[in-house]
Amino acid sequence: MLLWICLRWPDASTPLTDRHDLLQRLALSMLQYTPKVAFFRQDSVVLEVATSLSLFGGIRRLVQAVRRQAIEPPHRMRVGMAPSASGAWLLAGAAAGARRVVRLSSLERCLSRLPVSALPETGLHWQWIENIGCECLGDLSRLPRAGLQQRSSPALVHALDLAYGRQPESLAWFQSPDVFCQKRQLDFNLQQADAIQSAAQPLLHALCGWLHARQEALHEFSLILHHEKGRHACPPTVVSLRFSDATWRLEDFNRLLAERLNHSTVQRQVIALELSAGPAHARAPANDTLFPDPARFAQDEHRLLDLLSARLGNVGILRPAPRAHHLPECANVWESGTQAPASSSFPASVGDKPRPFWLLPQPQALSTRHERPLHQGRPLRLIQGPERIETGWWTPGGHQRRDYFVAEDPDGARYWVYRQREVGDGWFLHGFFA
Amino acid sequence: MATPAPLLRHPERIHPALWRATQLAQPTRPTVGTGFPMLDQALPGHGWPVGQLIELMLERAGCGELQLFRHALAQQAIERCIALIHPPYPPCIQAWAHWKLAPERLLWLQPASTSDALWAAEQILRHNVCAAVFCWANSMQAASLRRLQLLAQQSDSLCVVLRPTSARYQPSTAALRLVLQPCRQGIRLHIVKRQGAASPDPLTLQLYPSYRKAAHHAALDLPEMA
Repeated sequence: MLLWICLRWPDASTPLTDRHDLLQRLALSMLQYTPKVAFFRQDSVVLEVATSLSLFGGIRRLVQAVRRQAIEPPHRMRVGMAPSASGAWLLAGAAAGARRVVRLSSLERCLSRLPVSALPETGLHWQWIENIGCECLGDLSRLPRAGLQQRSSPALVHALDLAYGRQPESLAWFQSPDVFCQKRQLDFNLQQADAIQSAAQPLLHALCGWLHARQEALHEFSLILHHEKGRHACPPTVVSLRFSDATWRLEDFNRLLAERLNHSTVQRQVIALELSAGPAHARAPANDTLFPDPARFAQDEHRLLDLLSARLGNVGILRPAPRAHHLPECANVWESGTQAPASSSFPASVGDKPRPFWLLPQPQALSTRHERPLHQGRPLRLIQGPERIETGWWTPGGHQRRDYFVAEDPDGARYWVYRQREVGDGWFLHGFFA
Repeated sequence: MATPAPLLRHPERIHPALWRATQLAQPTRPTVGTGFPMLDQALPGHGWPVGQLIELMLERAGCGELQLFRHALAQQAIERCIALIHPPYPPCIQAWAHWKLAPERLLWLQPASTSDALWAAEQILRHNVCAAVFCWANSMQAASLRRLQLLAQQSDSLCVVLRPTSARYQPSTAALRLVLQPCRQGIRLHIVKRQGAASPDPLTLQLYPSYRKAAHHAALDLPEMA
């Protein structure tokens, strides 16, 4: 058995060009629920959902989800559901009565109450139909079939058969485009972050549907905010988002977008939104295991890092990238970015010598009293050492010869200090033991 | 003086959240051993509480504050990272590796402001992917501490906030509050707040071996006061 949901444009008077974008977007977002999506009679999108019911938790939940996406202010699509596509379309346009039926018998009952004019094929013969006293579709379908076909047209009989589900519908299924780039013209101006976020929802839903139909995931997309044109025209603002893990989920898109929009100020009023997807890749199959999976941990971690980098920027996130170098400040290298470091790339010598956990990026010169280094006016006592580090003799002016000591102040706090030997004799503070 | 009823003598049998004022609480969440038997004895559950906010107050950075957690961090899941939010100085990868902890687990976050730092700590606790979060914050509202404590309770990370000693007399919702001071070869700890009886005396933990033994030869600069 088939079950169709129809999203029908509420009034027929709007020009076709205006509808086109919205219907295209709706068809794309409906691909989230079923691959069988088609345009119907130029003002509707129909989808066949019989096979999707259990995945989305039943008819009621599925219809609710579809209805939420059918509202795109100021337009609100009418939603009808029936065992035939034409029937769903007719019910969606009905002024009163049930718009959603599941069984053929209830479809017949509901359709029979609709006025004859609801079916566009009756338009040529309305005079005749009115004269014989048919007011609703029920009257029409009760007429002898051969006679009706003879006096009206085969198209009318065929349309009636399709609506009542007596003949199978043949529709050309909607094919998703190869490149995703959708633009939404707004009928209003926006500047606030959360308003932009909610205005972008239909586009994000369309993106999710597009990715779902192709079973793909993406690493980046950009939302382009178009500003008013004219004398004070300014170039569009581009908000590009990057994901460490290829993703296709709406909540991932939304979380990152919210963080980015909240932390960048949009200078001008936004009149249109455009979403364009970066290169998409085939999705990795989901791994549902009973026990916690290290890969899932990594995914959660990537999600967290994407979110952190959206607010702190890439420079705010640092991961270790130690180098093999004799000078401690040159060996302790941190690289910004969300990419997790590979421990195999670390030099083998990392961690073979005791070092203080807090390492000053630039050694700090210490004054001396009676040949002893002073820190903040208090004498330091050398308790361990020396460890000599000598390097750079091959470069002119780069020769370093340092004798490192662990020193203690009168309180007992420990310091890592060194005595410069080659150029400029003196004491330097280089770290604290945390 | 009337002796209490037998049930009241052991209130923890009525509900784990009850304890007598002279006892240490029985924590409902797991704890991680600190590696210092003396400190373990003084903490409810004999270890650092996981999923609770721990507040450390220190005069200045570098008095052995992270070595207190060395043992606990080594015990936790190795694939989960350890976040250092807004540390006072650049952390040294080599020191971490010398402690036999995996350096690739480290995540150093350098936010521009305290509010960003607290936001980052909040997100990390919400996602619950890090084994431990260390957050250095100089000024912190009681409300944000409370927020962190609530989020820490929903996660299973070790959550540590490090603040200056001036915060000692400010109210705080942290489950465990310690004041740290450096001392010879180690660290002195005052337990300001714990779930249980007040701790009267500071604890002294030895972090470093005696330098007389450690030195390969006679000490370079023998202390006059030793």
